[in-house]
Amino acid sequence: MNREELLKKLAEYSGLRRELAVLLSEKTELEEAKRLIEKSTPRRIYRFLGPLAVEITMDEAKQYLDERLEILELRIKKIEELMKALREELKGKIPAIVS
Amino acid sequence: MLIMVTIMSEQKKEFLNHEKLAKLQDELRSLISQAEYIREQIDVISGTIQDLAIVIETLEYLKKHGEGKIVLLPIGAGNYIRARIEKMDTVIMGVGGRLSIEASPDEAKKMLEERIRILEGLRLDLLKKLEEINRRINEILPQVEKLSKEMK
Repeated sequence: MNREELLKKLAEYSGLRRELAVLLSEKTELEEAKRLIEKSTPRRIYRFLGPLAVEITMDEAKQYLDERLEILELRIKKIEELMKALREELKGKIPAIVS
Repeated sequence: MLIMVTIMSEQKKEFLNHEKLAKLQDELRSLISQAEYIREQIDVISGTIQDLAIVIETLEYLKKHGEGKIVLLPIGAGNYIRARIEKMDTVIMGVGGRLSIEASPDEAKKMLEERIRILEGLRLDLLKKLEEINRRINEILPQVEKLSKEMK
């Protein structure tokens, strides 16, 4: 692998890492929302659809969050696999990114 | 014969130095980009903490003095209508994931404080990580400078 290819792979890895960070932060946000809803047992729950706040039940809220978490998990898994493959390719070449 | 061996050995040394320099420069570039990214994240977290602190302050004021007060209600793009706060027993608070819940002002305040505490913990972790990266950058930088001078 020449230097140009190496830098290209590095940029690709860096992009994936950023995407993963966004997804993980979204996942944390959803898990936190789920925890807060379950913990506080609120009187009413609203889901925002555009500017509209629709009142939903606890079950609907949980189902909505679970579905979104499931989709996120799949995307996270895919990105982690791509990163792992890139790490294998770059192993020993750039110590800073392998860590 | 001896001269040739010396020349070859110097060429080999130069080649190895060149390779080492390229590797260090790549590592440095990667570390700098990581540091920038972490700094951006720290800024975002600090902004969120500040926003949440303002919400708590507003909530405390409204809980004490809000009922019956005339307030300006934002309707978008810097426009407002005058409105009166009838009761201060319910707060609709966003919990993330485009969901909001109804809570009492005290419950809302407690949840906001907890969120601030979590974010402060995250910020501290990132600051530690940034410090570590900066330490490594400070280790590499003199090596890069030294090798660059040698190559000239």
